[in-house]
Amino acid sequence: MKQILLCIVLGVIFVGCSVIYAAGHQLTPTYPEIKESHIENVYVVKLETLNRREDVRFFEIQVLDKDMNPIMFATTDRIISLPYLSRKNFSVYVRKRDVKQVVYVCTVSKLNRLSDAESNANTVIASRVCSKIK
Amino acid sequence: MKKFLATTALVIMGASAAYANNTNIQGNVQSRCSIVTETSGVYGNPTADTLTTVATDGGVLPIIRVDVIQADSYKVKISWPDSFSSSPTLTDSVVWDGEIEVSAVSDANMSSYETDKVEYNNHTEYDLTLSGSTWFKVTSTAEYGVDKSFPGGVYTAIVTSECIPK
Repeated sequence: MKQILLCIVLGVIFVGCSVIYAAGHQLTPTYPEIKESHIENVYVVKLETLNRREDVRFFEIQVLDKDMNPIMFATTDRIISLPYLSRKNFSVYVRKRDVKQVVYVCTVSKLNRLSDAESNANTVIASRVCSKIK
Repeated sequence: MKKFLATTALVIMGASAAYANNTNIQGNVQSRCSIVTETSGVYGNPTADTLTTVATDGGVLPIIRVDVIQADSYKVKISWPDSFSSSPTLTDSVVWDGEIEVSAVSDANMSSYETDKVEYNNHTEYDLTLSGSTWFKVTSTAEYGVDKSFPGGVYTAIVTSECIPK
């Protein structure tokens, strides 16, 4: 009997958690390490982003310095297609001479300003989640 | 001898079965921040020259929830709109105003977030010193020209929320 009750409680918690995290956007790890890549004088940082926003399908990758100014970088796709509830691992490559300036790597939601309109006058929410280089 | 071998085999099989039942579940809880869109706001139009998300004026406040797994790892920066991302052609200036406020918290100790917030321009920053969820409501108001009517059409403005590690 106790086991059945425990299962029910765990089930409720699990479903509750699924509902709670129904529309989020996140990036992990929070503090990634930047390492030397297989290419000379190029460094790489590896991250994973997860889309739990049903209203967003595309995210842009940004590499920024301490003042949130953009830094040159390379990756396979700067704008990644990330369907609802999917996650994606990506690598960002930075030149050796820029490594010391890199502080943040972020993903930013890309909004379709027309299709997001639910009424004649509304607000939409853009989200940017960043990781900070160790 | 046959009996001994059969018994030994059964013991070994039993032991294997016991091992098979010991399945480890490993998990990795790591620091992370999630920005959750709870409610996309809607502008009410209480007067011809005003659009506002205030509920008493017919609007709906945008609600953003920010979840952090580990305490004191992130700050969140939320910005109310200072322009339309899409609108009909506007020939006069629009005066923007807004306010970001904590509307609910998952931990009573987060009540200091509202008093400790830092405001500048159209941005508001909160230091997320505790783990858990915080709900933020966004008030946004746009006034057009000097008592001019907003032209008819679709208006959209963007509220920006950012999770930045400390």
